[in-house]
Amino acid sequence: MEHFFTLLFIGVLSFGPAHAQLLSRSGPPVDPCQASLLASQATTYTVTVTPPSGPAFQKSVTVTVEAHCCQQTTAKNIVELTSNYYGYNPSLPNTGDPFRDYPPGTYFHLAAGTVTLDNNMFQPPTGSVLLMDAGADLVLTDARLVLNGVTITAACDEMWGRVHELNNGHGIVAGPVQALRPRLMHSLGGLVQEDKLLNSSRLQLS
Amino acid sequence: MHNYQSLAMNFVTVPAHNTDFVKNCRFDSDPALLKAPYKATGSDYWFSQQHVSLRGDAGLLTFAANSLQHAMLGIALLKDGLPVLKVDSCQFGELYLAGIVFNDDYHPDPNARLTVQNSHFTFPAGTALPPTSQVALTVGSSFTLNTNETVGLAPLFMPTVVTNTVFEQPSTALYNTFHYTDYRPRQVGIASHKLTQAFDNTFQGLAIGIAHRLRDGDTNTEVRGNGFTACEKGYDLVPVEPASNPATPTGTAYLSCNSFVRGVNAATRSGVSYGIYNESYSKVTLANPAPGGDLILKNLFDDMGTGTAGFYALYNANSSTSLTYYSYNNYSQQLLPLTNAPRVQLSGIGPAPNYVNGTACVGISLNGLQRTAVPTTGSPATADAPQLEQNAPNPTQGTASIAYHVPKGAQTASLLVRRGLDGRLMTSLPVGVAASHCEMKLAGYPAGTYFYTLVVDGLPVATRRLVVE
Repeated sequence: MEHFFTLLFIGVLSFGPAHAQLLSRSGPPVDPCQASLLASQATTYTVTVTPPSGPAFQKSVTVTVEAHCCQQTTAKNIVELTSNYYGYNPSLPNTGDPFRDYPPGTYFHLAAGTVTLDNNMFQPPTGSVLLMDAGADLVLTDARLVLNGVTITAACDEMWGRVHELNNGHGIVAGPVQALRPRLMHSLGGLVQEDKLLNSSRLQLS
Repeated sequence: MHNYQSLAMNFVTVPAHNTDFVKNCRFDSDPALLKAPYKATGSDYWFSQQHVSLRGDAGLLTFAANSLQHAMLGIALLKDGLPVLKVDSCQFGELYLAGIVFNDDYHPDPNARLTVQNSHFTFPAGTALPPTSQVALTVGSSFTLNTNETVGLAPLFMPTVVTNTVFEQPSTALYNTFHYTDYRPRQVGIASHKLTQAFDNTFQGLAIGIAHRLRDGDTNTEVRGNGFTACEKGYDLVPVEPASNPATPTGTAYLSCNSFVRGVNAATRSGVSYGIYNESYSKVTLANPAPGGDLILKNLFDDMGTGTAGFYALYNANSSTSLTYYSYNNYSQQLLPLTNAPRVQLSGIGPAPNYVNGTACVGISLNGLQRTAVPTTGSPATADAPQLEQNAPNPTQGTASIAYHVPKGAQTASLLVRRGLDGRLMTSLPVGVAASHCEMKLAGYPAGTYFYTLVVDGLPVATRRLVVE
């Protein structure tokens, strides 16, 4: 979230940041997302006002800038996946896999939140990144998800849900592609695999 | 990375396949990188709660060569279904409450089992658990975990086998005495109600190596070939919980060929280290209960010259109970000054044999009696000592020729062959007491390492290593 502020004044203004102070935090280290983008987490600006008559006085305001880590605005050429269901359809053979036909390294944003992947094998291209909204799940039913060299992470500042393979799923496979390892980050539940009713179901993570 | 939970396997009714694997994976979390609702706020922050959870049978799944770091729990085993898991060659570190925990006060199916081998548990280096409310929330939701305690393995009632695994606190510089809880939360290698086997493990610098809640009547525990070094207590018989169990349980555990070593001299670290410690059991017999089994225990105890001012080999804290320990006659005499007898009873068997230097635990592990026992020069046992020679050729295929000697007057002799991988008994081969060698047929033995032991009148006298190509 970005903060903008305006200072209105009358008279002579001495504006800073005349005095800027990085407030210390207790507990864990500061969020490196903030640290990498901003000079500080909280900045105190002091305004000295000298009116035409009477003594000068000061007013201070402390501005805390929250992290701006929403990758859908920082990454380039994001593919927006707007449906909450993808599955093989014989009459629409080119619509079943939302990841096909994209080059390695593509960013996808699952804009519909929770998305069901059904009746197909889904394999995002190597090096691609799936950006998940807060609490959103990827649900596998009668489907296999191959995540070789793929990253799944949060689109913004909140954790996403999980990849949930139901008991009629065909498995989750994730392995490295040369030096590019698959990554699953900032989720609440990670990969969840239920009973393996189908012999074809696999859980292969490396 | 930075997940509240990274992997959940819910194989409640349908088990994992043998094509499944989780290997070479890194599980880790940094509170600074977790996001809402677990984003650090004010003075509170969060780690991953558990990296992996398991319901049901994952016995066919390969869980190997993974690294699990920085979380409240590494692996949580849940009570639904039949928890079965084998962990191989994994690294556990900075797991603040437990590396692997069965998180319920529940008796699972007898076929549930946890196997851990070739792994390494590095205990948190901090002087306190992380000051986050997540610690209290996690402990409050568990029957197993305790406030201000870190456990490597806490499988509770799950039958557990642990082999060739290291449990260590690598940073012991802050310890001025052996009362470790003055310095950091209590760190326990294994806390178990149902420890089946602990073979060839290392416990280093911990408050307790193995905290064993021996259940009333239990006779199934075998602790062999482990090294306990610089632990406040090596093997600790802790009170049974819950209170519905007998208040004064009795039990038998077989502990042999382990080393209990103070590990630090008195000038460097004061206080008392304990090898085997009984907290409250009414009667504990440390021996092999098997009929005809080897009752003599061959543990090594090394006080590093401190006497009981710095080390008890055997200590019974309860004045109304007994702790019985069987060893060689001459070795018992050495142990006696390192016990709080008469609460500890050192017993031989019948006409107690004397220990002959270098004849016990050879080949089983680096631990065991032979390191420090005093040679019994001139004793009856050495006048006509049993001998077991190395087989030839070694490595071998098909057959092995083994030379041995049985003292005059012995009634029976046999060779036991155990598989090196897991100690499984392959054969018990009677041999002649008057003969001097035998040809052992090895047809059908898979390639690998084996150990053969000469047993004379029911007592193992020597062990050698045999390699089959």
